[in-house]
Amino acid sequence: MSSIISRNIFRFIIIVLVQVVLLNRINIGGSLNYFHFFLYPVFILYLPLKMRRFVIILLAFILGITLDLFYNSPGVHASACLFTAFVRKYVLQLLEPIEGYNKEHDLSIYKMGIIWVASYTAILLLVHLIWYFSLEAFSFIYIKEITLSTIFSFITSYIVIILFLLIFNPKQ
Amino acid sequence: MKNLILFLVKYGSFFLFIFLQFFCFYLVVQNQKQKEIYVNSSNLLAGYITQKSQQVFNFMNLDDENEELRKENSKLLQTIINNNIKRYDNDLDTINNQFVIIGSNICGKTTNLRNNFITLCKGTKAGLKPGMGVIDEKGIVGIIKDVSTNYSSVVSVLHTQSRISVALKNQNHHGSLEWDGDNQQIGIVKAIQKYASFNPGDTIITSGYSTVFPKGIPVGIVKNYKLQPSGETFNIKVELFSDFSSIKNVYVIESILKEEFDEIKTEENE
Repeated sequence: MSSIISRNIFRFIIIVLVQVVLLNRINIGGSLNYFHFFLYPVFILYLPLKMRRFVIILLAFILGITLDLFYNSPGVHASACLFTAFVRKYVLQLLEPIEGYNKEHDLSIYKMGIIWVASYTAILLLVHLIWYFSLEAFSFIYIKEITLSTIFSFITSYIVIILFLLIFNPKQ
Repeated sequence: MKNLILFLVKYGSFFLFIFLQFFCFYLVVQNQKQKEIYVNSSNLLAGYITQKSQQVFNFMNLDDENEELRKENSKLLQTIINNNIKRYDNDLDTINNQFVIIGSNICGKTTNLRNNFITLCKGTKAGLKPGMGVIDEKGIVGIIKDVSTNYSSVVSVLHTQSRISVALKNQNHHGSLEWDGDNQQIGIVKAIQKYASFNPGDTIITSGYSTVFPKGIPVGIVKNYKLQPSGETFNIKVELFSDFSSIKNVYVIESILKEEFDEIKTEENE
């Protein structure tokens, strides 16, 4: 049990640092502000299956508030993280394999297969980004900006997240 | 009571979600309304990490930043030099901005040979031409000899064939600055007339008798002097201001009137 806690604390720190120290600084597209790199949703997405739902929601909130501190955007990341954590259960149900989940298994490419991971990540990342950019703009009159940001950031973030999952791919 | 607990276990996470989500919305709305950031990064751990990582990443932009600073310095130097000339000439009709300054960094140099050269990382692309004077923030450095598209080679003051027209500050006696290939910090000013009165510690500046250097660029200070056997001129040992071993940034001086000046010079010689 303690190994799960310490491993996830470690993951939390690594993901937040990579997000705010590295990804936050990447600026492609010049003056067009549509490209963002979101790695941190991966933390919520790949918390252990057997973790209680309210713990996941609490952790997502802590992650979001931490990022808000760095981005000076009180509430925006936290809200998006909360929503992602909330929706996670339903996406898991949607993508449930025929034989069901093995509660003892981690969600990883090694255990679940690349196709499952790819679709699971895509759905939740899209949900996260739509929620995030809508709340950031705080009005649907910016529908064009919201849409473009979501599409472009989805592509860039998706690449980053899949790379991250391939690099940190536990075999046990 | 049992029912309540069962209810909470079943729907607790949903209510937690709703509650926290409301809190987030509250933060967002507050921020939108007052434009005031409640949880900001200026006073927390976040600020510390942001600053530290910024420091680490700063070095990546160092080249660009240096170039910016060099440009700014060039501009300031240009103003100072042109104003100085106006003051020396006591003439407000002189052309504004007779000298243009171009900053450059150094790609290579030697200081320990008898004939030393300095290579600049800029060439014709940046507007450099042979015959332009080169200074740094302390004093004179040399004269450009060859220029390619992106590089130029400078005959350093520390070159036995280097001759630069210099003068004693606040006097009209002038001579020519040479180097005997010996000490990197010591140059020799030859052919100062015996009527000149000066003491060790006096400043030597450029004379402005050519268009290479404007009048008044510092060169060095008088260390000691010797009357020549002929009895007509002094040889002065000068401690140079520029430290050639640590030189990194230089400024190239372009004279707008150079062509006009050279034309009249060649006519004189004919």
